Amino acid sequence: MDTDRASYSLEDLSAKTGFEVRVIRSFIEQGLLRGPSSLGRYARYSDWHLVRLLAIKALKDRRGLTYSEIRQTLLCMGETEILALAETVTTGTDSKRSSALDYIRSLNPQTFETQKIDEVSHQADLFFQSQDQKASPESEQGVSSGKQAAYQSERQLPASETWHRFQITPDVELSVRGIQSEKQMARMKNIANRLREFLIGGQNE
Amino acid sequence: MSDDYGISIIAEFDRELIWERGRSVRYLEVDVAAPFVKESEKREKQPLNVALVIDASGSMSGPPLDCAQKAAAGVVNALTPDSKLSLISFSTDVITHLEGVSGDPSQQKRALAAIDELRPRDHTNLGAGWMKGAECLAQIMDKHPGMHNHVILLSDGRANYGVIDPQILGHHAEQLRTRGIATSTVGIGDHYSSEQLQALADHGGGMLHDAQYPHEIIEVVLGELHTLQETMFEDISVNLSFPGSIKIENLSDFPTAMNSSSVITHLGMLAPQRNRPVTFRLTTPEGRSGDALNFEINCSWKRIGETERVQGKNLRRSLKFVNEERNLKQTRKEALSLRVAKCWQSQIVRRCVQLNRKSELNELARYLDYELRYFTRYCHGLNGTAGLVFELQGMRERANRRWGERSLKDMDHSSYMTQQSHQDLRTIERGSWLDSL
Repeated sequence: MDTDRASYSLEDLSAKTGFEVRVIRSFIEQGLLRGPSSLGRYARYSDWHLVRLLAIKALKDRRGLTYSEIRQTLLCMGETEILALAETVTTGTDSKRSSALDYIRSLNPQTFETQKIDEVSHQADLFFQSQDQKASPESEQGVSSGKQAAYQSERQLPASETWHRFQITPDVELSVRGIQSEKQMARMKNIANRLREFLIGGQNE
Repeated sequence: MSDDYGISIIAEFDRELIWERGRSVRYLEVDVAAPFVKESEKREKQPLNVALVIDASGSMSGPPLDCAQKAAAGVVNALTPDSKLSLISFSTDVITHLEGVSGDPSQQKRALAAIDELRPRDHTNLGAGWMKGAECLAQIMDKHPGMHNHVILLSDGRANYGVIDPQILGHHAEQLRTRGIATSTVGIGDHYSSEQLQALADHGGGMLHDAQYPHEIIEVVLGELHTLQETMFEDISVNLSFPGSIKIENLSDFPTAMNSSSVITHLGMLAPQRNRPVTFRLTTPEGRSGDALNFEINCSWKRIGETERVQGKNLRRSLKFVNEERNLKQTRKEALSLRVAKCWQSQIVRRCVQLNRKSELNELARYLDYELRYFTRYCHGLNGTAGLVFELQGMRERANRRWGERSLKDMDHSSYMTQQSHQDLRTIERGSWLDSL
């Protein structure tokens, strides 16, 4: 799916996702969705908007998340993951009409491509994992496994030398060196979230 | 009840009378069983179409990968000439080493050479590896319909590349299961992602195996292959229709779809003489003494290698409203109540594992206190349940700290096996998980 090609009106998006037009507008106001690709009376929306709306639908209908939780969840997901989430809605349950091979071919090639997950969540996972290991009785007992070794090798540099990357939008990234505590990490994630909201909101203005 | 070589289904309540003033809690067990089939009466076995998908991330190097290779070689040697094997390894990239080789001696040699070439690489793109395995099977299915198609995925880690969300993996596993490709998973060591592998196995109609030690990889993979060779039915589902005023909960943790008056539970596959019980907890509304709440239960399945679903006969059961005196005087079915207690305890343990893993220790203590109150009352006077209560009390005493990952895995896995009546293919017997806490 070419996620940047502008091609839909609000009504088209509504028909494709089942969300009412006013609900889609409210998503834009709440920062769940950025504004249209082209402004004016005949505002157009791209596949990016369609994918994001389908992902919102999956999170709302299947996981029962609130819109605030959905916003937080989407902020922590990479574009590949959001696309995969959207596909869980579009692939539906029409098993009688397609074979396993048709189903696999219907998936977007990007879904299962070898792309790295969102750098923020990966780095955060590594960070919190190492914090957990410090705190857990298991690490006190000196348990050493291949996986733990793998985490350690990812963090072989001292914390003061390690860069953490926070993706703000597909085009903007924040890099921070020397995060040494969970509190500092949480603060940087908060700053990244606010910056993201500021940037996404800016497109509406 | 069963048809010729079909599935039999039994449905029973632990007690059949309910208080007219409402809020009675009753348990319904629906037990689905495959028949014993004499060797001379067996239908011709459907050939296997298996994809072995092996994690080749760096952490697999050494004994885990060696044993995975031995397991793969064992699968090659056990293949019948009309069966097919695909071999995929994944790390950051995905490599297809073998695509649909048969158990023919000349091809076996080529397969063993390819297995020998497996080398550890770097990250863990589990989703892409699994999907490539499914794609290999799907291509063979198109050319050779009527096979038994199954992905067996082995991993020691947490996917950190590509699709990593258990819900997304589960969704695709379910879609492929309904199209004839099932998935089982083998978690290796102490640091595999239970959530990701459990989602693939649960929704894929297979089973998650735990291989704590490298040699257990061989045991569970070859055991799984043997089970697949024996399996007669797949994609089994139980449909329970109930009055909308009832509150209902599935204690067995099978994948479930529910609306206001029916619940469909997917039980996966069954080999001869194996059974899958599913236990429901029902909370009843008020009613008039003498009236009844009616339930309808049916089961459907596919025979291995066939695409049409077979529909079993309908069963009807009911709960009858009575006054307080009759309700209190009724006796319960002891053996069924003991099975319910085991299933319930397993559900509690698995929930506690989730909470402990997330370090939600206050919530864990609160949840255990709440459940223990009702569980102890249910077990009062029921033979065989003292140990179950003792384990939960022991867990409560240790609820104020994080448990080790191996303890969490042992608790989760043994409870999962109890809940869904799965067979442990490992030869080393495990003691009570409470000792390791």
